[in-house]
Amino acid sequence: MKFILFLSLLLPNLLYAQKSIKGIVTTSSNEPISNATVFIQNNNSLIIKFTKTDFEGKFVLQNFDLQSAALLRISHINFKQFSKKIELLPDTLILIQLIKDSAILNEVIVNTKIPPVRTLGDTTRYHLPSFINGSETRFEDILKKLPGIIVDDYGKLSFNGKPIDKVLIEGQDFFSKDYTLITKTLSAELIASIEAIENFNEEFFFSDIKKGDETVLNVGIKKNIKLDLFGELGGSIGTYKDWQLANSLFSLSGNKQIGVINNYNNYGEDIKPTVSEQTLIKEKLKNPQNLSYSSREIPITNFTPLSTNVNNNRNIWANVGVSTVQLNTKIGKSFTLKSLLTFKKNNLEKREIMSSTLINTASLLYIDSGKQSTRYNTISTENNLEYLINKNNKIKIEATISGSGFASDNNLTTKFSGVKFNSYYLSQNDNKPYYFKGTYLRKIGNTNLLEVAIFKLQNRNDYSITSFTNRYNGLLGIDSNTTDISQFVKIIDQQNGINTNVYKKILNHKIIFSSSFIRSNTNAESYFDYKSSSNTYTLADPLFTNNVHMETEMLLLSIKDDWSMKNFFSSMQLSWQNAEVNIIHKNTGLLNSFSVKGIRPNFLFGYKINGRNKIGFIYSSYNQINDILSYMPGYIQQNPNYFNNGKVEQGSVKAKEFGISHTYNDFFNNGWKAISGFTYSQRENPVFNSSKFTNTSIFRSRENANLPQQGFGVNFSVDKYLSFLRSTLSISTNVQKVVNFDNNSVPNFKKNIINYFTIKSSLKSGYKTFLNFYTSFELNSTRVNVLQKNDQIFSTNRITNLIFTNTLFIKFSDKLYGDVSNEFANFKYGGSLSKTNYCNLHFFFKPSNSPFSFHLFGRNIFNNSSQITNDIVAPFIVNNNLPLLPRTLILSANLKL
Amino acid sequence: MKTTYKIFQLAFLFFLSISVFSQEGKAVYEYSITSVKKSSNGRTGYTDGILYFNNLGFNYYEINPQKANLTPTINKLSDNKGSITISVNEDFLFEHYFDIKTSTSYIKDRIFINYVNYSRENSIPVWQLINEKKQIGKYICQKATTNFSGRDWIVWFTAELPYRFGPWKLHGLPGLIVEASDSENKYSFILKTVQIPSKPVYSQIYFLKNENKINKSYIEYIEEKRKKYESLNAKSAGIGGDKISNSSFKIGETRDIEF
Repeated sequence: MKFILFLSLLLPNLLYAQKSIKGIVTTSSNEPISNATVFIQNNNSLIIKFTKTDFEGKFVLQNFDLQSAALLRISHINFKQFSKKIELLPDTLILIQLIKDSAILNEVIVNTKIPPVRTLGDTTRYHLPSFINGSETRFEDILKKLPGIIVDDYGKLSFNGKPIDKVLIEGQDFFSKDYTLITKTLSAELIASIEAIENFNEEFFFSDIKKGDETVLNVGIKKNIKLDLFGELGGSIGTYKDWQLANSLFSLSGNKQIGVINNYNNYGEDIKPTVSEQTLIKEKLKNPQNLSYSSREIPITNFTPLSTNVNNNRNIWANVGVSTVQLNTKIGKSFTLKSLLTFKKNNLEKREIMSSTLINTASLLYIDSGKQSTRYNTISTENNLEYLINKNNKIKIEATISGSGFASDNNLTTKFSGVKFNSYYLSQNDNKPYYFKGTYLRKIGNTNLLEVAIFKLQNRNDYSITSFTNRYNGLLGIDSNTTDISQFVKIIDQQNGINTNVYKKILNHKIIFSSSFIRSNTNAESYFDYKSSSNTYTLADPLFTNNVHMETEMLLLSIKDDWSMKNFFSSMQLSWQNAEVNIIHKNTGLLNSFSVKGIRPNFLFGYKINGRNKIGFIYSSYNQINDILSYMPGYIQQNPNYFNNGKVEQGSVKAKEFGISHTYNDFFNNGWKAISGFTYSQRENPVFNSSKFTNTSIFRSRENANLPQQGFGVNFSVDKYLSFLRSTLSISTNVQKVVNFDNNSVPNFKKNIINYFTIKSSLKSGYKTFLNFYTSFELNSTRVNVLQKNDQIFSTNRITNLIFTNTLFIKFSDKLYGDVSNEFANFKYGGSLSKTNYCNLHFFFKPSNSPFSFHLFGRNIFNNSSQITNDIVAPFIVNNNLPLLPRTLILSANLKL
Repeated sequence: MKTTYKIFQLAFLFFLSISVFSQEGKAVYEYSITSVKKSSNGRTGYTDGILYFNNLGFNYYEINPQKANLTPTINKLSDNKGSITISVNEDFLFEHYFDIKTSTSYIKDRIFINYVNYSRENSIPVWQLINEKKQIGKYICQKATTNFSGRDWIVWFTAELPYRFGPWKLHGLPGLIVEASDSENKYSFILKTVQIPSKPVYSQIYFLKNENKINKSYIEYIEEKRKKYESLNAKSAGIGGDKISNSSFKIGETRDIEF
């Protein structure tokens, strides 16, 4: 009975009573442990009370409702956790000894809900597992799969339409603008992260105030890769005497960063291409010339097309090579040296595709001028030395020495060598940050000289002044006896949105003054710009001292992108222009004065509903003035009176565009995405007759007629995710009609009509992890009708292009996978036909735990028949008679370090 | 004799202090801000906030994403490949060192574009434990709330990681903070990874307080901040090229305003 009474008193106490616990926490050697976490956790694992031990190891927990099975837990980073049921603890002061522990917690990924693409400020970060499937070999293969990044046929990159200037590895700049050396050689396996950074500013001193204008990519290397030395060595040999020897090695250790890339081959895999040298036919075939059509949005999906062909530079046959070494090193605490040495050898054989515009039909003609060979070798070294005086002051010296030789079939041989020096001084402190840059350029051989000095004062947030002096002596073909000095001052007051520029050229007097003012708030931005310029030209005729040209321009721009109704967006631009040309005779003074005035409206208005439906209207108009300053001293000498007769001719260019588009996007839920759109555009250009230029006047006169152009376009695209195939079906069609009226400049012709139709479909599948496929079909059909004045058809041409591509990706295991692809292309135009049908195979074998990987590439041409016609008039390239790469089987081996 | 003994004792303690193995941990948070500017399409910005902790305290800093790739030291840091050599410049948007012994925070924070270092005693928020739990990753987390620095914060912490640390100025719970956000959901922190390596690779936690740069008290900091933002409110201003007009820039809009 006594016992029961005792229990009845005790139990409620244990279960619900307000309780307190006191204790001391020590080590096993009775040293007090301070700052240990002490907490009470109920049987639901919820913490109801917590505290920490004081410097004597004491703790008190009071005023808590004790529940049954509650635990007292004590934890400290250096000790094993203590845990005991409170019921089992004595009511008195508790003595707890903690046991030393070296708890190890391997990196735990807590949260995996990482979106595929994220941006903060100027940085866009890609979550790579959302985009890649392991079949990528090179860095470039990954980039091709990332939305927002476009890799063109030469390997040049752009991000959100802006060209990428540099590719950084772990924040280190290697090979600068020649980043294709990295993108085409770096193994995809090494890459852990990719970030695109806009407005990148290398001079970090100023990045807070001034945004740079570069766009860069930063590549992070996987954590398990030793940064001391990583990269690849490889070689390949093929049945068609194809060979390649290559390596790409990097070392990023402490103060020294080294990059070494070599690539020599005889099948034209040019890892450092010069874009301007090449023109690709396929691209041109896909792009209609006349209408600016908004491109489809790229859906962010995990399904990415597999690579369809290995080498699409099918018009190039070459023996190329590049060797490059870059060393970035820190010498002592203050010096940083970046040194780059590049040698490039090129022996190219390719077909030259020339383009010319035929005015009378407003069409482009592309002419195949046959095989041409060009050879060039270049060698260059770029050195960059930085000296950090202290935290706030820095000196940088850049020296570039380069030499190159270029030879081609038509006996054009040029040699160039140059030396260039740049020096910078950079200083910043909290009160008066300023910046100085001096440049000295010397071109050996022609004794050309350029000196540039920039002085910049930046008062952090308020204003900056830039002054620029340019002094040159016969640079770039200008008379070598003259020295020209120009000065440029720029004042920017960022806080008030005021921007003032003064440009002054000392010889051949020229002054430009411009000032702009910008005001903005959350939903509207207005901009006012005033520009005034004056030019004095020294004329060869001794009678005329100078020709003064004064021009004033005012621009008023207002953008409202978020009206109170939120869905309207608009922009208005109005500019006023006044130009005056004064011809001053030495004896009689002002001989004639011509002036022109113009108002240019530009109006855009749009409405969008939930971002899905958009309606937009654009109207723009501006005065085009014929080139009143086009004169030659000889004419003035011969016909001085024409200055009296001259008048300024002008005509307006008017453009109207109307567009409507609807987007339905439920791709992630129901698998549907559809975009439809319609655009109508009308354009009118004034016609200036250039023939009068030579006979009568310094002015070109304007014809009465305009050159109108009309265009209609309808596009429709749909994406559907087919769950049973785990694949995405995409179909897109585009129909356009463009009419160019030309009834004046070419008397016999009235207009040409271009009808353009294209349909593209693709099915990309993630059917099984071991089997994926990509199928695409593309049909372009274009008809060009040229009509004479009497409505008789002068010519009709139809071009039909059909491209059918299949790729099958097979994964036998993680060690062995690859793809087989087939492409059938049929180009039909006039009476000519060109057919190609070829097959590629591409397999990888990567033994596990081995640094070696093997790669087999095969190519077979089944048939290829073509006829050449050079006289087709069309807005597109029509000739596809290209030397296709021969059949071959190439085996390559790579050693990964 | 007594002095010799003391020297011996000191030497022993010194020896002990280096031989004693001290655990260190690292946690990486994703800190995101829902943009207040309409012109940036309501984009959510984010960066990494990195927390190092040991038995002496913790150091938390947020990487300036615009600089994150420029300084190799940062990359090494995030890859655990080197020691921490951090220079005080704008590589970090925010830094907080908390000294457990003195219970004092040493904070480097921004007033507009200038950085100010200040110290704040008794900086631990007063937490209310809530009887709610949820699983985040592999951890069972408990809810806790506080009103701190002018905002109501809701956090989820886990006792399975019994470290009283967390992102920004939020700490003092009996477990590591796994998620935190303010009641308006403008600012949030999500724990991405956590680790306690077998060897203390971070040879030392970065002590902001040792830089002799703490020149302001918390009161002075708040006063300076209030003055700056009041003066900015009068006219439009720019930060790093971003235009911020008076209508969109209000006191209280940024996380770091404290009253």
